[in-house]
Amino acid sequence: MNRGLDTLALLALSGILLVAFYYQIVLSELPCPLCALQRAGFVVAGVGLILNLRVGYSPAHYGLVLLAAVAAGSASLRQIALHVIPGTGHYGSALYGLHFYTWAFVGYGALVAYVGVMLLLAARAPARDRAPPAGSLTAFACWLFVAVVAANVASFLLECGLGPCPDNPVGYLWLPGTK
Amino acid sequence: MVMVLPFLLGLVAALLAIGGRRNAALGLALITVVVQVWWLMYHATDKLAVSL
Repeated sequence: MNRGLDTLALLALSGILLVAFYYQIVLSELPCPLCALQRAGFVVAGVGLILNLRVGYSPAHYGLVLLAAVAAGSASLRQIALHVIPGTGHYGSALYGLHFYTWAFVGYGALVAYVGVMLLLAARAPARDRAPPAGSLTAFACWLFVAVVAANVASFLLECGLGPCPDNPVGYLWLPGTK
Repeated sequence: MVMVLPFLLGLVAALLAIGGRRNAALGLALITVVVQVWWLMYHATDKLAVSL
């Protein structure tokens, strides 16, 4: 059961990163530095879930997910604080009334709750039980996640090159004239 | 400060995890978290527009 839930959670992380890509590519909303750090948190959390799926369950893998959630959740909280006062503006579009940095914070809270539940469920199972051979859905989830992360590497290389991203990016550094 | 670095580290960590290289993947992912926190401190120096 843990394996199935971890697979679904990994698919959800890929989905989150794909939605961010949709807004970046289709709606030309380039990610800011804090947005990038929030995306990076989902990447690290995904690594923890892949470890569970490929080498077997371990509390250390969930610990990695928690560290990623706390680190990147801090970035989203920072961005919420930047815009929390009326008149201080916002960054990017809203989805169902919340901006993406707020959704990211909700997502990290959900991730922390998920890990708590999984650790409770796993308390009855032996730690580091060997993972069975990956099923097709698990393999798909792992490779989809890798593809999305690779796309993020390419995207941030194009947007920021080998340096920091501008606070309010308006175009791709390595693709002049595009937005 | 290289913004692509956490993604590059995360990508390699994910590939190592898929390849079953647990310790390498875990170590690299932890380094990625450290880089994330470092980059956050770099970007979180402005005063917030709030007063308590």
